[in-house]
Amino acid sequence: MVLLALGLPLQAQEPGQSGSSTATETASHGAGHGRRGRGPKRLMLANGEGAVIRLWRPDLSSVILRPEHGSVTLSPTGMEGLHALVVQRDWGDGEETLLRYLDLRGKPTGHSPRDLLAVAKSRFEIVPDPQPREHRRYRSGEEWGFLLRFDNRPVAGVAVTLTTAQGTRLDAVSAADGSVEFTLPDDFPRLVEGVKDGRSAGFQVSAVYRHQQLEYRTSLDADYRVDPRHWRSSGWGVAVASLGLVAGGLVGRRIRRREGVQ
Amino acid sequence: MKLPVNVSVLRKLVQVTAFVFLVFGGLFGSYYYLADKLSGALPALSCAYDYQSSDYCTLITFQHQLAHRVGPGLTGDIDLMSGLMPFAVTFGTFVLLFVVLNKAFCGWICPLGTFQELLNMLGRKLGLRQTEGLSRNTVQRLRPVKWLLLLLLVFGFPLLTGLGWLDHDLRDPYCKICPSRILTTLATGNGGELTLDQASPVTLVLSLAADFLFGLMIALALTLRQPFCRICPMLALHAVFRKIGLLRLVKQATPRCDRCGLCARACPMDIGEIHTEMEKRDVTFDDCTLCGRCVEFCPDREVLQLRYLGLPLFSSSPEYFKRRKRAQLHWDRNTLLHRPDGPAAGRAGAK
Repeated sequence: MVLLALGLPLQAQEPGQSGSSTATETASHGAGHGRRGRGPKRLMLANGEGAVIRLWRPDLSSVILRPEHGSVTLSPTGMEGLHALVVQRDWGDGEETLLRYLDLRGKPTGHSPRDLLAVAKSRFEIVPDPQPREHRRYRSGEEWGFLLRFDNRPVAGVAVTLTTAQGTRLDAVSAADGSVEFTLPDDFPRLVEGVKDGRSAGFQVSAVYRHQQLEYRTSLDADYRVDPRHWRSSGWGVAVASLGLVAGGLVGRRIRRREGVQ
Repeated sequence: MKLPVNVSVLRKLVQVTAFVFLVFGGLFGSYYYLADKLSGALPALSCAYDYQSSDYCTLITFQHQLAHRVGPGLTGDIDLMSGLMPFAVTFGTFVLLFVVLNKAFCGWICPLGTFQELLNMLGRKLGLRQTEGLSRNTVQRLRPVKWLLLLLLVFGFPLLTGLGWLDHDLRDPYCKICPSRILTTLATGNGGELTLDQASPVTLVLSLAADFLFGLMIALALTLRQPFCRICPMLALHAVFRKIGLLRLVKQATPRCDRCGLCARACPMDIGEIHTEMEKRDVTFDDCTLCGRCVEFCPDREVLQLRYLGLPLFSSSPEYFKRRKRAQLHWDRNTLLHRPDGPAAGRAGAK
């Protein structure tokens, strides 16, 4: 079975690169400016011949997209918030699905992103639980949860694999409620401690489920970023705050001497 | 109208409820909070760095829109109108909320203000020696600081960053030093903001200042009321628009006011003018947080009032004053460590 590849999920960017112009979400830290342009997005699609590509909008409507020369162009939907791009291919003896969530700009729809996460977009599906929202991103070193669903019901005991662009592979098995957790590996190469690193790279969470002699293969595709703890020190932060505490005590004493006490 | 609890207790209840709502609001469900549906800049009340919160503090939206919209709009990098419109929406929403609440946001809702008050209560309960209040000179010297922070850190540096004149790390310098950012993220179990950021000299200086200020504020708040509020740029921003707020502190001075001064002693912001002002009726001064303590501790009938749309919400009265004074004495007596010269020794403190 051939795997589909969407965007550049399995290629790490080099330091200094601002990110891919495809679905790879790029952002400066903080307010998320720049990560969600209003213009069209182009997504590279490898081995996607014969696949059905569907874009789900926040209001749960969807549209079929046509690939051209190995890529898909996402025109603005005019809607704000979480969209889902689902690539499906029927192999006769099974179905393969690749899913990527995209945060796009437009007008507010009044629909919660949880509506989109809740709806079944394929028979076998890996759902982010929770979906990083607003300023949050997947970052190396953080633990994130995912849910495995078949026909919109949780499936237990399924082997799940997380692979990163750096080649790291993690394995886990879904729990009784279909949940599985991974700590995203801190595997970016050539990290320099104390130096900010804005790189992002792709990772995929994949699983295979057999049902009535058919094989359902699904992957959730997303990007993760370098753990900021490489250039942000909690220890020093606490130390400086402690220094502030001591200084506050001294200043308070001085104020009381000068201004009077109660 | 006789309240079942005094205004200070009522205010604490509102403050704690608001703290939970604003800091953890995002946890309560997807359909009741806008942050789950809108990811644009909807300015409201709590910190954007807190992933569990329900909305954005207006200060971060001002800074980011100046840096990412207004600045590039002025330089021609983006369309001017698309640069100015988000800022106008933020400004309009802020003004709309402000008209409803006026400066009561600070005294009744702000999570950082609540935290400082709770710390001060803790300091009193621990029997720590309290600063009686800052002198008029010290208060006067501190007052310009909030304006400087507003003009430089909230508006100036972000705009200059947007114009391309300053380092990108100065796009939200006030948030980078704001103790509320550290407080609310710590409250949700995220220690990622109490760090020393070595990414660049700018982030290093800003994070040093933030961490130090956070510790300083905690230590000071144990013995001094509302230390950070006195220099908070939100207070300055509110001061600009205080004339359009529907809630006001109103004074009807009497000759007895000359000899009293309990209102000024009760004021957590040490606004002496509440006592000395004999002409103006509207005494919602720049530093006022509309907490209502001055009204509570005014012993004369209807000399001080909180009025909404011109209608009295809460008025001073001798009866309320006596009840409030008794409650304060009772509260002050119950400390963990008794000091013979402390407030528990029987001073009818209005603190």
